Amino acid sequence: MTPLWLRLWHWTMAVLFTVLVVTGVVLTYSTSTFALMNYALADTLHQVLGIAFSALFVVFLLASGVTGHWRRYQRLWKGLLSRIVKFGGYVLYGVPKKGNGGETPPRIELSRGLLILVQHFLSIFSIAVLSPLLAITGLVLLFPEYAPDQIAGLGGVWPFAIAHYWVGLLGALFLLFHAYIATIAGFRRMIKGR
Amino acid sequence: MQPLLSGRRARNSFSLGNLANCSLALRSTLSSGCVLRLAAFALLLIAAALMPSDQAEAAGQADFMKRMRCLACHVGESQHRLDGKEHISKSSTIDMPQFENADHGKMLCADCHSKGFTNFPHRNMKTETCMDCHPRKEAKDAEADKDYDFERINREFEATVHFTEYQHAKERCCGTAVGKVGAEAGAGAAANRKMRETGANQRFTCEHCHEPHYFKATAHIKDPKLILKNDNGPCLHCHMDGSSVALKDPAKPNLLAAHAYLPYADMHLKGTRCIDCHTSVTPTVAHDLPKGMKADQGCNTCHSIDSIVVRRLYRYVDNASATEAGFHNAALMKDGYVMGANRQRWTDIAAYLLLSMGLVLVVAHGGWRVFARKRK
Ligand code: HEM
Repeated sequence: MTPLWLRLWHWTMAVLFTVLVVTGVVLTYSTSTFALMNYALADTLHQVLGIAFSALFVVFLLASGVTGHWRRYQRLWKGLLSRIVKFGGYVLYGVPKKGNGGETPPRIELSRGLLILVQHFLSIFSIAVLSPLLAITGLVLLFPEYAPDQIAGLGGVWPFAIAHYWVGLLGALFLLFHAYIATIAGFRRMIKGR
Repeated sequence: MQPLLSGRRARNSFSLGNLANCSLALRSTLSSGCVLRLAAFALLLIAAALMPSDQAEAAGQADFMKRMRCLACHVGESQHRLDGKEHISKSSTIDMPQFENADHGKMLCADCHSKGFTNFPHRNMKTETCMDCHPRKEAKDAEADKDYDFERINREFEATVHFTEYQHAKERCCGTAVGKVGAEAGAGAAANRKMRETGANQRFTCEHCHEPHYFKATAHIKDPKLILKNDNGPCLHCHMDGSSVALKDPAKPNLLAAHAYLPYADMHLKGTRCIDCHTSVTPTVAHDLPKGMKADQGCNTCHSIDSIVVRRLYRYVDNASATEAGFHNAALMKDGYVMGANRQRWTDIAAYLLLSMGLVLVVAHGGWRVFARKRK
């Protein structure tokens, strides 16, 4: 059973993150005469939703700590990487004949199994690595006046800007795979709870 | 007192000592000490005039003499003062080192102060204004002036509130003289408040912003930081904190508050020129003044890979748009970081590659799923 608070949290994060990726693209890839949406609006949205995203991340940490939901990730994580490698091998080279009565599931099914394991990895990666890094690098950019004046002879904000960009890029990739794999694993559990 | 004249002319200036003070005294009462010093100075001038060494020097000295007539009274620290009765400021003395360093520094006073200035007290005076000479006619100068398109500048200026608001008033010589290149802005705010309260009686002209004695074209300043200071000076002279001129909200005459809608307003105010937003961004040099929120022509005019900052404030920096260490428009980054303008080439390429690879994987797997279902 997926608790209601988690489902609400999840879909709020999904909306926030999608808008953050789109506005992030507008802020970085506009030209002097063209922007996908009003640049000032993109900037405001990116700041406000970025703060909301960071706050909700903290809410998630507290709530999964209090409710003990974090144990689910502990369970999922156990041996996850070696299972991914093993399943990857099945997809590439087929399941060893020995011990399965000679029946080998079709490769497409094996790949579905692999992707569901990848989904577990991505979910954990999103809360353990992506979200905190996005929040931290974003926070520095929110207060550029505290960044050093210069780093390596250039205005001191750039390392944080680049770091934020890279984490955001990984975030966009995460979103792509996570949403795609969701179409395999199904949305039901994240909507109805089971 | 600062040295009055530099280089060759300095030789002739050793006796100028307290002349500026003296000239001020002359305007109120003539003290006997002053009369003596002026007489001695006149003798020295005559002596200097009789000793030319070659022709060029002779011509130079002739210019020097012509100038000296004026400078005898009008030299010294620039004194932009407000005439208590008329509520206009009088720029009655010239800071020579600054003048000579400025774009009109080789000109003679009479080139512009063309009529009525040879006798004292001056009568029926006429002073040439910017548009009387510009655009200049001689081939070399015309070429230099062509880029500015003075006709357009004039048209744009005459459509601004600066012009229309004071159109009814008389045009007086040389505006309110906003000061020297790089001078700290704002010295005139109190004066301007007074002028505003009493009702403006002076038409706004080019010279209000481009003080002709100290004007230096950005092409000769080059350094973006100095250009910024130079170009913000005239605006801040009237529109600084505490002034009552058109900061939109008279209850909050505060620049930062007036720009509070901007993210990082303080950084924007420190790092860009007023005119970078408050004039149309398309031409390199513009003199229109879109009013109020129309000044905001889209953040992406600057926050973009083809940022107008490169074409405007940084246009005299060599290769301002060049890429260094992968960063586009690297020149901007030496003074800060401009989101959208300082993209990183390698990061961009990595992003395109990773996202396209991701998309290919997703589409391939999706295709495989569809294909597998059809085969069943
Ligand atoms: C369009 C965006 C998104 C879609 C369609 C989506 C969809 C889903 C689905 C269907 C699941 C259930 C997977 C399963 O049952 O195995 C899931 C789980 C999860 N998603 Fe998302 N998601 C999105 C965005 C996000 C974002 C932005 C985050 C984090 C910042 C996130 C974090 C998670 C986590 C942590 C789980 C596991 C929850 C749990 O089982 O405890 N998702 N997502």
